[in-house]
This record gives sequence, structure tokens and C-alpha cells, in this order.
Amino acid sequence: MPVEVILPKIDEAMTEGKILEWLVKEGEEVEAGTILFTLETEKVTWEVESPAAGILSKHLAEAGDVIKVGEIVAYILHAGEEIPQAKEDKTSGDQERAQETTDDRKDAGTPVRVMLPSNKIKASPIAKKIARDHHIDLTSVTGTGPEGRIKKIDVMNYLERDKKTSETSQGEEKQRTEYIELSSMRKTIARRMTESFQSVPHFFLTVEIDTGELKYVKEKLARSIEDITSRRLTYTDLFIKIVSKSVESNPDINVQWTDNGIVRLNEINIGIAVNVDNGLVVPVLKETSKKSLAEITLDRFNLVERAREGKLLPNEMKGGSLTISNLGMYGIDHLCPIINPPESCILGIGQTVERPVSQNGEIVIRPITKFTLSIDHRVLDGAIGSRFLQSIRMLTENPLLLI
Amino acid sequence: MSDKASKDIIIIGGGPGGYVSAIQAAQLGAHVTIIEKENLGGTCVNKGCIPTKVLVHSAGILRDIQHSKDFGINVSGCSVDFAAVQARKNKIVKQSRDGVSYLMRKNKIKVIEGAASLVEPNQVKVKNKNNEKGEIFKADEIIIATGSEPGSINVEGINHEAVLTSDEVLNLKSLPKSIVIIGGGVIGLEFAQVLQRFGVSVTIIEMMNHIIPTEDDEITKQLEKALSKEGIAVFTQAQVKKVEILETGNSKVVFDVNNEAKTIESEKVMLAVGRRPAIKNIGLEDVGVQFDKGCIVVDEYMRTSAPGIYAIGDAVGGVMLAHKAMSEGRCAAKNAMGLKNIRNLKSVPRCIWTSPEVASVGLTEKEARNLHESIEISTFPFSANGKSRIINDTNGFVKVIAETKYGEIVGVHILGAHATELIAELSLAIQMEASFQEINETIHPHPTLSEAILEASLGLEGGMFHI
Repeated sequence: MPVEVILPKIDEAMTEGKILEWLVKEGEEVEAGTILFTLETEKVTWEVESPAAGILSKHLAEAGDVIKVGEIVAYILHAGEEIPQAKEDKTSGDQERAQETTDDRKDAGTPVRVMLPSNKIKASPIAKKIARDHHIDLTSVTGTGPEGRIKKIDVMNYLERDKKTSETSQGEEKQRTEYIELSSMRKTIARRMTESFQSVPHFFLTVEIDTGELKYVKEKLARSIEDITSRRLTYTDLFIKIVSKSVESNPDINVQWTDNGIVRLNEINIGIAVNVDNGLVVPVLKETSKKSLAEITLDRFNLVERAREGKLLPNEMKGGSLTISNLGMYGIDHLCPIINPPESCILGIGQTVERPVSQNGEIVIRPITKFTLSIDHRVLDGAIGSRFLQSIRMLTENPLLLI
Repeated sequence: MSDKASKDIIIIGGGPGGYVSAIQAAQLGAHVTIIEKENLGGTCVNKGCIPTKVLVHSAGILRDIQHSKDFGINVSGCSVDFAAVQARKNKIVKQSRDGVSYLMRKNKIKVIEGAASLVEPNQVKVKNKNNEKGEIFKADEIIIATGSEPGSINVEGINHEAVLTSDEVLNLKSLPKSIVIIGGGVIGLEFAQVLQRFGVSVTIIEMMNHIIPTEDDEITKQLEKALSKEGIAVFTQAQVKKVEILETGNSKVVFDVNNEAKTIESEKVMLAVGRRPAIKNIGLEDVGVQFDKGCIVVDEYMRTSAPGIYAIGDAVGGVMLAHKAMSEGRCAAKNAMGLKNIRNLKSVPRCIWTSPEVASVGLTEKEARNLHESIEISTFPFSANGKSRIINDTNGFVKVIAETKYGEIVGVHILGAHATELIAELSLAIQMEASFQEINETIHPHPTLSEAILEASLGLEGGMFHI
């Protein structure tokens, strides 16, 4: 019974492939597993094996031909057999032929081992035992018994080959890499950042802000804040105050995209990205626009401390209007952070650099900091984003306006 | 590309190896010619398997009748009509031979009578009584299946025409009073027991330590006991020194045993020291077919050293069994027809039709220990089997050998009634690479002798039940 040689489906997406080269001539004898031809798909080059032992028929497709998956490109014949007449006509429907092919195969009982579901793999009891012992998937073993039945020797040969390749590759890998187990925090970060990056259309707006005045104000306020809170006033606290006020004056920024529509938040809550051991958490300060700088300082201190101890409660990590991510202390000039879902924007703050700028026609050296706002373009456009950023700049460069 | 469908194949020898090879080639589409110099069916049908088993069966019937009282059946007076026994044998031989002729006709295989010899790599010359000079036949592929002939030993007087081989004993017109059988192998033992049962006084002289030395030690021990019990005199470690044919026509065999010289006079003497391949005068040298120690040399595809020439069966040596020849015949035919087929002798059963019968497949205990790190052995005696008691034959046992790691069955040895029928199950087990678990999970019918196989196998997994 002639056995069909079809163009195999190498991966899910594949619909067709090009025959690169026939490695067996017409009329040559082959065994099950002999490589008949090489095939090129979009992704890989593949060696196609013979499904049975016999004689390779006439090539029904030539090197260079692009063939659809499932099409018959040749037959494996026994002596005296010929190519079934009807199948020589390449133009008959692929769909039909594919259906026929499968049925034929089932009826004829011809050895095409890749078609058998794994619980019907033909293998001797001993071969199965050895495979089980060594966790070998029998579908990857070539059987040399009758009708492709897998014998003990086939499994033993597979083990030998497998041992050799895994010994070398494992050895190499051990030298190059080391596997680190995933913490649940890392898994969460990975999941959320991937989700944000893939589903939120980000765009970025950057302003350079003169933080000289802010520094002056911070120095002036430092003592009193410390007196009130027993904590040191940081730039973060000031930024939280500035951003809150900016949201107040640009309420259209305090929105979120949901599947059911755009949601406007009633509160102004600001999240701050905190670096912890091997990861990142974002505690959220609630109703910051209603809080004094001292309160913000205290809040921030407590949350950050608990964040570092891993003791944040779930609701302390939710509900933010936006997040502030400050990498200035790491010497970063400029960052385009990934939005913290479900928020609609995130503010990335870089380091302060003394730079020459033009002021009233003259060159002066001023402390300049780059602020970048990453924005969800589904819900916010350039104009509102720009206005928001300008508010931030205004307040940063004129901190007395915060009063 | 050559059109393989009309390949011409010549097969030299119409025995079981040859005619099965011919049928296989024909089924694959070849034009097949088979050349036979004597009778289709070869040694097996005409001078071996078939006729000997006819005699064995008659001898068995006689014995059963002689013991029928044990079964509550009274028979008065039974005798052997040897002429009738031979006539029946001849009839069955002829039927079998005709059967092979029919198969040749059915498969459109041309049968040529004559003695073939190779003249060119693809040419065979056939001589027969009609054509002394010989006719040339051409072929694409040739398969040599010339079989074997009775062997001999280098002993004074052995070549005297009065010294019988199995060929002549099978054709005896009447039973001798006594016979000395030189050789305690398969053939010698079967004839010994048949003749002893027919009333002949039989002596076996065997050179090795035991009769049938290649079989399992326990089997040979128990069988020797059984044969001795029936009155057969067995000498082992005995070396024949001389054979003399006396004026009376009787024979005198001189032999050494335990450094003692002995002489036995008997009416007939039979030489049963094994068989040797029949490969003389068939032109092997002319076409470059190599042979070694009297056997044609072949690879695992049954190919000889000459391209296009294959050889199978007794002609290539190994175990000289008809079923081994048939298997090799099929293998050679497939290869000759362009299909790659490797010889598979993993599970060739070896049978002896003595009583009790002997049947084994796979490795002996000794071979198993040499080949495997660790083995398990379990033996179940037929004395504990219900059916054995019913048939009143509780001799023997089933011995199963498995390698420890995966429980793969590597050898089985059976001594007992119908062993030759029971062994097929184990040939299948070994062929399929079964472990004893597969046998343990297989329900064997009750009450049968085959349950002894199950029991022995259970012994490898925790314990037998019926002992």
C-alpha cells in the first residue's frame, strides 16, 4: 500500500513551506526515518523524514516549489506498487485531500507514527518500561520494529543520543547561566508591567524644570517639618505636594480607562515607586491634596518603611491617580516609565544637573531636572498632558504658589 | 529506474527455506523460478520433520494403548505393523509434497527439476536426466537454499554403506532387533525412542557429557532418566573408536567410556551426529561466494559475498531448523526485491519430539548469566498441574528466565507433554519484548498445561499459586 509523504505542519502558524532540496532520488530505497528532503518555512529549516520503509516514488514537487501544508509531495512504495493515479493531479483540493489522506492512513494501517495519539504508540512492553523509567516521550522515539513499532533497542539508542546532547548542552549552560527562582513579587511585577506595556498605548512628554527655587524652599522648610514630624523633609514629599496641586488644577488628568468606559476619580491619591529588595512596590498616599506637607512627609515615611518591610496592606497599594517614579538618586537624567495600571499616567523624575541655560538673554548656571510624563493615549491626549506638566513646572519653579 | 515488478529470481532448493522464499518473492511481484534436484519440500517434508513426526506419533499411540488400563480402558493385544506405519508415513509425505507443488502453482512459481550450480553471478546451470550438459537460466537475484545432509565423523568404518543415516532408517522395510545410535542429539533421541517403543533394543552413544548438550542442564538430566526408564541404554562421554560390519550383516561398535573400552554388537548401526550444509558442487567458488567451516557466509540481510546472491537455511549453518530457514527465506526474498529487511532470529524455538517433549526459546541459564547483570529464574513442575495429572504425564517443568531490571523474558525451557505446542506463546513473548508481567496478566485457560507457564511466570513476581 503506497504511503503518502506530505508536507508536514512544523508549527501552529505554518500554512505552507518551500522544498529546499530533495536528499533522496526517485527510485532509491529508504527506511522509516530516512531524511527525504529539506523544507523551509518562515521560521525554520526542517528535515522531513520518511514515514515508512520502501522505495521513494517520483517527486511530485520539485526543489524550489512552495507547497501547502498537507499536500502530498511523494509516495513510499513497495515493489510493484505505483503512485495512485488520481493523486498525481496536484490541482485537486487540499482540504479534500487532507481529509482523504487521514482516512486512508487510518484504514490502510500504514506506519505513520506521528499521526498516532500517544496512548496508541506501538511499543513493546519493555520499551515502554524503559521509557517510563527515564521520562522519555515515546512520540519522539523512532521505532524500527514492524509498522514502526518501538523496540527496546530504539529506546536505548534514543537514551544514548539524548544523554550525549544533554550532557554537552547542560554543561555549557551550567557555565553560562544560573536559574533564579521567581518570587511572587517578581511574578506580579512581570505580569503587570507586561500587561501595561502591551495594552496601554504610551506616549511621553518631557519638560526641563529649574529646581533651584524648590531647593531653596526645601532648605527653609526642612527644620520646621522635622520639628513637626520628627522626619526629614525630602524632595519626594515636595513633589507629592506639587503633583497633587497640579491634579487639582487639572482634574481631567484624574481619569482611568476601563472596559466599561472612562472613570473619573473623586480622590487625589499619589503613588510613589519604592525600591525594595529585588523588586519594586508602589505605596499610595491617599487624599494628598487635603494634606499638609508635614502630613505628607509623615505618611510617606511610614508607607515607605512598611513597604521596605513588606508589610503594606493591599488597599495601600491601590487607588492611585498617578505614580511618581524618581530615579534622580541613581544618576538617571531621563526616564520614560511604564504606566502603573489602572492609572493613566506616571511621572518620571531624573537627577538635577547644574547646566548653563539662557535667562534674560544671558547664560546662567541653573539646576535643571527632567520630568517625563508617560500618558495612556486611550484616555488622555497631548494637550491635557502638556497642561498638567506645565502646572507641575510652574509649581516647582515657583513653590510659593503652593500656599 | 529499473521496473522492480518484473524482477527474475531463482531459488536453488525446494525445501522449507526455498519454497517459502519463493512464495514471498512471488507475493512481492517477482518472476520466480525454483530448482529442486530431488523432491519439493526438501529434507523437511521428505526426510526430516514430517516423516519423523509421523513415526513419533505412531509410537506414541502404541505407548498410550499399552498404558490404557491406567485410564480405565482395556485393550487386549496390540502390535506394531511397521509396514503400515511406513505406508502412512509415505502417504503423509506425499500429501505434503503435493501441497508444496500446489503452492508453487498457485503463486505462479516455475519449478525446474535438476541439480543447479552457479556459473556466473546471475546465471545458474541446471543438469538433469533429460539434459546432461545443462541448461542456463538467468536471474536478477539468486537465493541459495540447498539445505543440509547427514554429517559424519572421522572414525574407522563409518563410511560403510551399511551404516545408516536418518535417511535410510526412515525407509527401513522392517524393524531391526537392535540398533546402536551414534549421537545423542535431537535426531538420535527421537529415533531412539521411536524404535525402542516399537520393540527395538536401542543403545545411544554420546560423546559429550549429556545428551542434547546445548539444552538446559535440568532438561537433559530429566530426559535422560525418562529415556533410560523406557529401556534405552545411554552412554555419555563415550567416544566411538571403530565401526565394523560383520559377515552376518550385524554391526559392531567399539567405543571408549570412562577410559574403558566397550563393544556392542547390534543388528544395525545409525549415525546421527548432526547435519552439515549441502554446499558442495554448486559452483560457490566460481562466483565468489565465500564459505567458512562448511557454511555459506551471509550478513544480516542474508547476502553472500557475491552481489545479487543470497543464502538461507541449513546452507548457512546456525540452528538447522525448518522454521529458521523459512524466516530467513522470507528475509532474503524481501531484500532481493529491494526492501531492506534484517534477519530476526531473536525467538527461534527449538523443539524435540521425544516423550516428554522438549521445547525452548531464547537463552539458556548459562547464556543469560553471561549476558545480563542479574537474572531471575522460576520453575514450575508439571506434577503440580491439574491437566498433567489428567493425562497421566507429570514429567517435566516450565522454567522461565527473566532479566532483573525490567523483567524482560530472555529464555524459557519446557520439558513435558506437548511442550512443542506450548512454546509458541513464549516465542511471541520474546519477540514482542514482553516482561513476565505481561504473562502474569494474561489469563490462561483451565485446565490446561499452559497454566504451568503462567505459574512459572508468577514465580518471578512474588510467588506461584499452585505449589
